[in-house]
Amino acid sequence: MNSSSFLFICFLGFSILAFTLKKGIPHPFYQPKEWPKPTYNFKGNPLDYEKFELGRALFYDPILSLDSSISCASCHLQFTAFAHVDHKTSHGIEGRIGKRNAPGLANLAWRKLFHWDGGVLNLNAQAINPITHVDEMDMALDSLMYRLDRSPIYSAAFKRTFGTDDIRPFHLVKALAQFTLALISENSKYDQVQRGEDGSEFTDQEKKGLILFNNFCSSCHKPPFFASDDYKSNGLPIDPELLDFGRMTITGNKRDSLLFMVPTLRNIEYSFPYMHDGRISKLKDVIKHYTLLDYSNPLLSKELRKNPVRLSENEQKDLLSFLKTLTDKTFLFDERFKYAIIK
Amino acid sequence: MKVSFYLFFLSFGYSLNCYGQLSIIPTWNIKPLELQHVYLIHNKDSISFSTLKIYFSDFRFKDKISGRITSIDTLIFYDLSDSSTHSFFNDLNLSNYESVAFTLGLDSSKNVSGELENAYDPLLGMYWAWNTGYINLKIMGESSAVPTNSHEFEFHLGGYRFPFATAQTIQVDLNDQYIYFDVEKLFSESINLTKNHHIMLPCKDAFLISQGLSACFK
Repeated sequence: MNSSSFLFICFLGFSILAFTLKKGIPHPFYQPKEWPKPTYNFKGNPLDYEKFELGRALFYDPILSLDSSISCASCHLQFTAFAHVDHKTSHGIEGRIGKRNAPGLANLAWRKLFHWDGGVLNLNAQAINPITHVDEMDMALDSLMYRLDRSPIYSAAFKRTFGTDDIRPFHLVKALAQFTLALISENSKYDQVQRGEDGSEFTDQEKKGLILFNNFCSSCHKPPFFASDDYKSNGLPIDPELLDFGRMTITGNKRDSLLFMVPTLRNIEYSFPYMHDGRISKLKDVIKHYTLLDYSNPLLSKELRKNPVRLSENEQKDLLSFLKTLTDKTFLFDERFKYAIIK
Repeated sequence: MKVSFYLFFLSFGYSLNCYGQLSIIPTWNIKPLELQHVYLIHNKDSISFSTLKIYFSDFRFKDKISGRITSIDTLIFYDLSDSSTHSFFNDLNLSNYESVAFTLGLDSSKNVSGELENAYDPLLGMYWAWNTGYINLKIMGESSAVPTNSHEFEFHLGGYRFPFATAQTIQVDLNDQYIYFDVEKLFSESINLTKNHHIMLPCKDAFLISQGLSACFK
């Protein structure tokens, strides 16, 4: 055997070994104990580590936008809980500015509705919106499929993971969902205390905050997700420039005017600015917003009208202290969710 | 009775082979509709079509003898510009059935399924990203009746939520393998191009026009 044959056999052997090992890597998604069953249909997109890797690469790749300048991660940064902190509302290609504050991404397998107006009904379909929206990536799907097909890296990756030579939108969105499904946040101080882990205990102030949270906030921001699939008015008046009527835009029903998603409070400390249009930049001012509301406003959610949030200055600090226990640094700095390219 | 040569020819083909595919034939003045062909509407205005795409689903065939219903719950995408989409159900012996009922459009469960594959592919141009769901019927073109500079009309009829659920149940007798969609009747009786030439979202007008679709099929 000459040296070149030996090197080729070694290369082949290592390649097969690497492939076998990768096949054995479990997908990062898991079912936390005590949590309900996910709503996501895994049968239609079985978990697969290689598809997760492909989805992660696509999530961080500006190839998805018309001028290749904006990626999903441009508005969903990991260290800010996959939310957007640069501007009040998200920005797209060529400096275009959208109407909405990009929400954080976590525990998406358990959501039934997506976006601030609930206009998207499943996680697979969600990615199509920012990709095609004129103020975000502004990329036509047929052009994007052509671009991915022409990319040696992605055409090989889709061939390897989905067995296709003809990349279609459903391949793309399923790969992205494989990544976003993995974004599970359930290791905050709150979670550790709930699980009774050694050394985890609330401070007195956090305990007081938890009681206030349960009294005033949890009917909408329901644990364990600290969110809900309901659409509510929290009394924010309409922004006269954005003219965003929220849920009514989707349903056409006037009763849905100015109703918006109840977002997750997990990692809320890091996912500023707040509200659907990012109009409040500090968490303490979000709490103050509720204490200053006009509770005679008939458009307010029934939960708020029935139980006005009247908090003293100290109670506001207690509640803020509790909300910070929802920060999950394991999630915010998880190496598996960081920028990566496909090889 | 006025019978065009075209429809007679199509029916003759059926009589030779009862195992033919079920075919959808849009018509204008009893002739098969052609894209970009200029027709006359209300005997005074010109009209031509650039796009006609339709979803059909939930087919129920009624047996001639037993009356038994054979259900085929699949989604069929029809595009007038693509002849490969004009016929379907190759393996069905249509001569066994006296009628077929089907849904023009998609019910709510199909709209929210998140499938995105095959007939659900967003590349077919029927997917509404902003409001997860599909257009049931897309018909576009130009008419001198439209009082704008471009004279263009665009009807994207869809929506599956109350009060603007637009999917329609349609029943037709199966005298042959063809289902005829009288587009002229739709534009004569349900659409007033002078007043309404642009529908792009679920709304009352989309709902009202969709209600007129059933009478256009035979």
